[in-house]
Amino acid sequence: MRNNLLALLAKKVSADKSVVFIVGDLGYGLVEPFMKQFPKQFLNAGVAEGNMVGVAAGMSLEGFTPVCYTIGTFMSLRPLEQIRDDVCVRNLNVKLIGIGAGYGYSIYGPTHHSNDDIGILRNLPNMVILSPADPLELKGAFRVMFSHKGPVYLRLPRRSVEPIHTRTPHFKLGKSIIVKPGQDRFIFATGTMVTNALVAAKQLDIQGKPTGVVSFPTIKPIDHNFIANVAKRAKLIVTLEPHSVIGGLGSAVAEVLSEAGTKARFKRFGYPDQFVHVAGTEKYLEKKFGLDPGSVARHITKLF
Amino acid sequence: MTTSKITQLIRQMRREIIAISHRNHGSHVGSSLSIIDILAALYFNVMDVYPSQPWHPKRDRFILSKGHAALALYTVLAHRGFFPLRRLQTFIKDGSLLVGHPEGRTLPGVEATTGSLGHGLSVSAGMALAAKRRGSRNRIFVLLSDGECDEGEVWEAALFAAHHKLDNLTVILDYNKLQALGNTNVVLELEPFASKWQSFGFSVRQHGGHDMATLTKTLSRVPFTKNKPSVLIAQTTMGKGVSFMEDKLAWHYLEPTKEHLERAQGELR
Repeated sequence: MRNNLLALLAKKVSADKSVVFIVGDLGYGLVEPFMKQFPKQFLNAGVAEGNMVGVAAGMSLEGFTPVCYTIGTFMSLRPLEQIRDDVCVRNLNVKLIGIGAGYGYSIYGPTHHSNDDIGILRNLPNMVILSPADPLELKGAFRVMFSHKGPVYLRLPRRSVEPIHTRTPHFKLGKSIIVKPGQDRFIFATGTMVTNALVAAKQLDIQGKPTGVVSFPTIKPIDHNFIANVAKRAKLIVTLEPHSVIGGLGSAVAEVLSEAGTKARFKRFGYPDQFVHVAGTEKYLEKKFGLDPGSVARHITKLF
Repeated sequence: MTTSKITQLIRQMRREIIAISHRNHGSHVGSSLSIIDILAALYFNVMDVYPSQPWHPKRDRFILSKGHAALALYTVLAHRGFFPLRRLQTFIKDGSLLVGHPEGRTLPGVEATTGSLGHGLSVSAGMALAAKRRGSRNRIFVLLSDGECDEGEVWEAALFAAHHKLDNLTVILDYNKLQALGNTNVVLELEPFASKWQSFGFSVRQHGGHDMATLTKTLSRVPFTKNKPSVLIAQTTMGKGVSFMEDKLAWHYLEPTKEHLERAQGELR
């Protein structure tokens, strides 16, 4: 969805001279047109992510709206202290975009696998975390990213995604989006896994186990009210995310469910708490960890 | 302010730093005494500041990257008129905004939150770049400790500042050669320090860090070289001004006792 993002950014900087797009020396073949068209609103900070975020904080203090951009691991891990101390502590208007959520950079090994970013950033006060499912949700997420005046982490897949919505959904910060209505069986999903959830749900329909699908394009703040309400009548809730089962959407939902109380059977689907040491495509790894639609449908059938 | 008035004021500020640290159980006395002359030069002689409009757009900016010397900054800000003097007495007390490391934009005059070493140069480089892009003429000053230069981020920021020709940015280094557990040359040797900054593209000056006239002269003449960020390596003494504190590692940490306070007040009369 990087191309969608760049198109949205180009429109944004034309309209708003305070926005500056800061990259950590990547985006070859992607950012050059932007660099050419908006040289005064572009900055390549080099391979120095800690300094990049500190510089963004300084620019934000002076009235600019910096948008930092690099691969998910380098956006969330390397400059974590700067994100926390320079940006979040003062609730500065700095946007951070991490590319390659989940195994987006699969063949490049664990240094590029971003399966812990949500877990780690969720712990930071003032941090907003967005994870749109498709280009249409991205439009809403992008708009909300700027209307919210504070730190925002936008998590995007590396690859392009086919739209799952037929038209642009109504997008509100902190609100989930019902993609397929359900009665008492639900998959709560985020990012590229919403697509997998939909395919799995259609298979479950055929098996006579109709299952609703809800997209969570905002992970922090989590849609507490919606989850607590569903918890009252649901018999099954599973979460599905391109992220570790620890700390991401599943954990956020579990936190709400355990405090709200529910009779529903609950399970988190996501990547297991382990590193991957072999190469493989994203699809290969999804299958390996049972997160492809067929496997998800099978697991759910066994559960309930 | 006349030279004799400012000399008197600085003595008074030294007394206050020790007194408040004693009463409120504060630490880092030696660190604060090391930089009080630099801060006084900046806030009384060099920088354009507007104490009654602390966020005035034309103001020069100062960031204390060496955040643990917060009390020195608060003392100078109070005397310069950013907030009432009596507020100094609330240093690190329950509910006070005078926190152990400066908290940005809550207290008038404090530009940024610091306390974790190594962040300040990046943040001030961002402010300097913003000023350049906006066409503003304000200057940005940032004070680093020597031990702080162990942090890699400092050098990331240095590369950045020189590359972007941030000649509106001035770094002041509190080179008292003492860090947390020992001399800098025992922990992580910084020498040749001046040539490191020079090779990173800075225009370098190096001299004593306690003489008001020299400090004022140098810091008023920034940028030292057009298109290059400036750095003043200020040769300072930890605990300067009190004989039993000078150049003593322990005074990085000790809380002054009543006896320390009385001895110090005597010397600083």
